[in-house]
Amino acid sequence: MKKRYFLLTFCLVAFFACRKIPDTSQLSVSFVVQTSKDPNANFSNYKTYYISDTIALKTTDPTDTLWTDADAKQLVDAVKSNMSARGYTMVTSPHSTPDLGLGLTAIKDLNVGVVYPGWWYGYWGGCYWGYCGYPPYYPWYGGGVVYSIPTGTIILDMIDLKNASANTKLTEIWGSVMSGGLGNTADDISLGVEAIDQAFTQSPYVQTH
Amino acid sequence: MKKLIITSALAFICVTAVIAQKNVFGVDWAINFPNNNGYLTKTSYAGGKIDYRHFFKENWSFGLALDWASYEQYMPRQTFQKADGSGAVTSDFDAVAYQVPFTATLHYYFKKSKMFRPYAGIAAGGQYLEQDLYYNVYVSSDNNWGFVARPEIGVLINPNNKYWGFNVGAYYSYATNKTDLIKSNSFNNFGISIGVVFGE
Repeated sequence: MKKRYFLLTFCLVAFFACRKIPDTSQLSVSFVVQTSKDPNANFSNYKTYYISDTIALKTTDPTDTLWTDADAKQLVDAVKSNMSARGYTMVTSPHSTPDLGLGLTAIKDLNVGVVYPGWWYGYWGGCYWGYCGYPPYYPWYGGGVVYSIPTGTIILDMIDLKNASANTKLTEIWGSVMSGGLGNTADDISLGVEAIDQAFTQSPYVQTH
Repeated sequence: MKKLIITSALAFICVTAVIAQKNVFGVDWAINFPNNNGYLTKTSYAGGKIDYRHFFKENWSFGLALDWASYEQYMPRQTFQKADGSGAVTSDFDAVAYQVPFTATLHYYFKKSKMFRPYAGIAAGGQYLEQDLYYNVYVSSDNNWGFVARPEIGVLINPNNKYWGFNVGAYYSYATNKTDLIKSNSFNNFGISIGVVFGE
């Protein structure tokens, strides 16, 4: 009888002792950067763009709608410098008929799980500045594209304004979802800037020629 | 629930093996070498096996086996481009897999020479596979069951015809576990096992 219990104990210890606990300490804190594009878009057809100096903000506080401080400006400036490096010219007003409209959205202190492209679209007031009345359109959506949007995410959208009227829709020709715990550490903003740079780096087709 | 089933099965195997005749009960340490198209290539040393065999003829046995293996591999930050060019994702990952096949076995034993008794056989059954991708502060997980088939060879080493001995084996495991995380339809690995056996 003793032998039986000994063996049973041995079996159980052997089985449950052999599952490793993952060592995630070596994972980097850099943002996870996802990008998607309209397969039919020709990025050299666009020359000018507009981006606001404010970031649309989604948090647990419903009154948080805009992020306007110096940190926000750093992120917007990162987009501007990348767009400039790719040959695009910034126009100073959304009413100056830019070819492209860019927007940044930040998801902080809120875990929304898996969402579909477009979920965050309303955070510019339901339309892109003066371009109201056109529904958003995500050309890559339909093939099972879903994003997991955890808290601490920055979203960058690039919308075709040049053809919005002709298409009667606001086509998002390129977008990036960058996730990394935004709002948790002092380094977040520099990590966010690095993520925006990476979004452009992994999308070499975003250029005027 | 799964833990309860596994624990009950273990208890059954352990108790049956010790009280019965013409039975062999083994506990092995297993080293596994994943073979999955470049995903998870790192050898796992955290594996084991509990094995019960009943000899229904002198050279044949059938039985049950419960294996487990834990895999982990860090993948440095890199960019994965989607095959159709419509997108990309950049991150580093810690890829983890936990494999638990529960199989019925059939073995044929070649002629015994002194203390060595080589064998060849097949194990088939179901395999529970849990896969996790850790990245940044997030984790994506998937777990499922699949069919597993595992050809095996090995040798029972029985010094001085005692009631105990050693078992050294090698196998290739093919399992149909599907994982959406990495768009994979199978999980395959080579393995070797070294352990002790008790019985006749």
